[in-house]
Amino acid sequence: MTVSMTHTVGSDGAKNGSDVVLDVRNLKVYYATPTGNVRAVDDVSFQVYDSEIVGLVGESGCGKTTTAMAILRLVQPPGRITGGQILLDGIDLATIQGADLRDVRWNKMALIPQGAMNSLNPVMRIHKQIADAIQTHEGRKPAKELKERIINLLATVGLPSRVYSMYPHELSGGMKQRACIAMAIALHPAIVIADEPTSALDVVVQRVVGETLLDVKERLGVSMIVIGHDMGLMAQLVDRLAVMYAGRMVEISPVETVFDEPLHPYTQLLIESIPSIKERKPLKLTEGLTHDLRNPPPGCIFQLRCPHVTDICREVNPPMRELRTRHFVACHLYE
Amino acid sequence: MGGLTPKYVLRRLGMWILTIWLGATIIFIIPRLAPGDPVSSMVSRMLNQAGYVENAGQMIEAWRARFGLDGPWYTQYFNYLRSVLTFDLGFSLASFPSRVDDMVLQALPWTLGLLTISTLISFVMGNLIGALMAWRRTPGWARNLLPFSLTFTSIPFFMLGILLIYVFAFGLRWFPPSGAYNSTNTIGWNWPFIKDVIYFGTLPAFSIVVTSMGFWALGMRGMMITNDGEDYMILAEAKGLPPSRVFWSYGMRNSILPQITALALNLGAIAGGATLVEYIFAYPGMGYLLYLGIVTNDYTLIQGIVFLLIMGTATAVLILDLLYPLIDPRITYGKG
Amino acid sequence: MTTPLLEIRNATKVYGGGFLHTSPVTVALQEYNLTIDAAPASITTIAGESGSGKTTLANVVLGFTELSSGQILYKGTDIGTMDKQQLMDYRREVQAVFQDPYAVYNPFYRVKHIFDMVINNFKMAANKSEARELIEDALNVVGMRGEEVLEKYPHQLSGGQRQRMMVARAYLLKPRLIVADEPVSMVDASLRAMILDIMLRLRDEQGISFLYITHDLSTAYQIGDRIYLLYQGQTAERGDTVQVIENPKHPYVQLLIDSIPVPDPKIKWGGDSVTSIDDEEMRGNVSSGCRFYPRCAHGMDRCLKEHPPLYTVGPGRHEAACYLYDEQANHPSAAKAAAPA
Repeated sequence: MTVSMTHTVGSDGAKNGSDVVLDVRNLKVYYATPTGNVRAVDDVSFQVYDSEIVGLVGESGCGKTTTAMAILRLVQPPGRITGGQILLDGIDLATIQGADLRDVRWNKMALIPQGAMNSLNPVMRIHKQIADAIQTHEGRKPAKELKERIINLLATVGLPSRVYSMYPHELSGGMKQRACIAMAIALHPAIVIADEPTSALDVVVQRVVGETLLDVKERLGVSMIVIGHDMGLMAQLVDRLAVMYAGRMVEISPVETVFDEPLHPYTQLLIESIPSIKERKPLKLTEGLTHDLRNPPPGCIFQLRCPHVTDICREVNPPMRELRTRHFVACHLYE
Repeated sequence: MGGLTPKYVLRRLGMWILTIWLGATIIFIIPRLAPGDPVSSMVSRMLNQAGYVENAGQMIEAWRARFGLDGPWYTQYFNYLRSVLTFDLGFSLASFPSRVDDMVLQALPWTLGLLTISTLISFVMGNLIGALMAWRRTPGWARNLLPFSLTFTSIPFFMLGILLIYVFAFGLRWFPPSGAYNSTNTIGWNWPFIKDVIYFGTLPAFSIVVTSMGFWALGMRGMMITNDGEDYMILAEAKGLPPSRVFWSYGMRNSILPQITALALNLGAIAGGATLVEYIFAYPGMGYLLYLGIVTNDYTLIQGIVFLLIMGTATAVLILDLLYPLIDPRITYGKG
Repeated sequence: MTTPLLEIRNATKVYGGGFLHTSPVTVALQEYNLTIDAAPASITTIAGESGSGKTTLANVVLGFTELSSGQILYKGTDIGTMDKQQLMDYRREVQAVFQDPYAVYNPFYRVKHIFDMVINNFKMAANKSEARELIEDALNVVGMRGEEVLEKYPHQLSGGQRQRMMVARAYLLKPRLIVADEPVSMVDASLRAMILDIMLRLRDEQGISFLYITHDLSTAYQIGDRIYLLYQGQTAERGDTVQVIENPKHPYVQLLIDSIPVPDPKIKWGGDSVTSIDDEEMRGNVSSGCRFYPRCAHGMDRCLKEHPPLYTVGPGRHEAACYLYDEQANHPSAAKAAAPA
């Protein structure tokens, strides 16, 4: 493969970050259960700017995947979007329906599914699955033109042309994932959402897929949301980092800033608990007590695990405030 | 992945021959394990009926020679295998001197026609109903109505048959209660005869379709539900594909694979006929013939039919093995 | 010299072949050797990518699969020749903790059941209160209390709780060795540390050794004593964990360590750009010589002829299976690759 993988991710996200591509405002996604609503995503707001990668992190169950699924309008019942707006190119994704929604899908927003197995239809050749997306939105194309376009897409992600007529099971995990990336960028969407794109892949392959994502972003200027829990990978991939805890957003910041000086106690915990291969340090232990998502306590969502908790945290939910340039945090510590 | 290699075909053919040989051998052995032999039991039945049979002993000897039952077992076995190879199924014991091959040849077309068509109809309808029952996007009204189409599944075959005859044959007089055609028509490819076949076949076919549809529907429903949870279904929706495309190319296409295996086995077993249905409707097919064979202790006839059944199933499996990699690319010709 | 706790000698495991040798053969382990000393208790890491044979290794040690050839010696006795009593002891003293802590529970029984089963199987307690005491003791070791968890169903526990219970279950039998197959790969970051810490405490306070099987070099680095890096069923490099990870010698191990994303946005992925060397297809089976040859940047003709033996490359029995370190040949490029970048 001769795809050049030179990427110079600016340490300066601001060189892009001017135009808002995606604007999520006060998003709420609740899951109805017999014993009350589970607030999977509770009043979450954030923006994605042009040509940037936003990392969405948090532990399992924090609502990061649900947020992404809500943007793609793929929340499955009993979950539903109960409030807020998701603005993409002047369209509110939270409310459109039927054919309008199908038109927006893949044209404007695409998904790179989890790095684990079954995201490609096992009985359909790769080119057929990519062609499916193209022809649904752009109508029938001459066979030759379509083939050329698909082979180009595959080449963009560093896959040889013979992948064109292969079946998913004939590809390795990393190649499958790159085929998914090729499919995601087929229609030049405004935003691509990658849900744990490298989970379950070996570390070397993880790096290949990660570098492919970076390369695609550089060359095509797509904006992305990358969901994950591996902070090391986030440090390599994203321009800005958004941290979620128990359904709420607690911190958003350019990635360098947040790794230098995480402000929210939860972010601090996340960064401290990254296992390092540079220095052997004592393990950082925390008690993993979480509240019941059906009955969030009044006040701050992190109060039960926070080492700095004070009275006000138990009463008032801290709003998101911009403490440094473009560095937002929801915490009473900094008032 | 490999294409259809001669090695693979040969291996499959070998398996096919092995299965049939084993089946044929078992058919040969089982009656010989039973006490007495078919001829003695025939004669003793005649004795029971008539009270006295002249020269019973000689008669038994003569018949045994006739049926090749007098040699040592290996001679019998090789004679048997040779006749099986040439599709010579021998004489019927009960309706001697009719040959089993002729009896089977007369019955087979009726059964093949009736069962192939009704199995295929049942397969298509059952799978469609099952898939729609499971699919998230099925409209609510359809979702509520679909289960009703399966209510008859819980009624046994023969009960439904009797019910149909009562209502449609004796009550409404829309369809004939029994038989396969009017004896006034000549058998062949002429329109009155074909019309007759459809006319006579409707009730038995209907009872088979209605009662077996549920089997397909429930299997399909389970497969669709499992399939619906797969990531590629979510991705298909995210791609903005029209629901019908998601349903057919991603849902049905993937869920139907195990059903096709079941269909092949079902079609293979058709040679055995549908005994109860054919009996109730006095339909002159293989099932009816098998029923006659059983009630008259016609061992050679039963052997012949069972042999055909084994042939049918083995052949269906052979064809399935050769075709399956074409419909499911994950299965390759290379392995096994 | 004392008898080691566990010794694997020339272990080879071949999958496939099948009836009449029809299906392709996969060599999961080849002439593999490993030793875990009887004292002091230690954490031995087996690390590698998927397909490296590390899970096969766990399965053969736990007796789930049999070796094609070679021996596994537990306290000097081949587990293949053990009598019933010895096997029973072996099964008690060698315990397992698996990757998915949910899959090992029967969802229809209360959590307690898993402990009761163990106690009944090995007839460990004379009565209920004695059993309860044993269970309570084991739960304390992993920082849990019986009344909090025992009466619950598996789905009512968190992933971290379930995994800690599995460690407690293993501990209940007072094992000498715990085979931990990816015990933290499905657990959240904040809980990962807790489980690793339990492993350290069991080693130091209870003298339990671990065979820690993982793909994650960073956790191995934090807690491991000795490390074996597997590549396609063979040891690529082995030695003291800190030594190996801070100063990797084998080109494969160097590639692995370079690929681990550094949790610092200012240090981007280092080393060679890997796209050219990783095509996973290139992992195809090499019939002779070094299996890493197709992906290796330093390949020599020699590598294709014969698989390299382990050469000493550093202190603390640090060895790498690579001809770059063959002192006698003293290949010019050896010095280059051996020098840390």
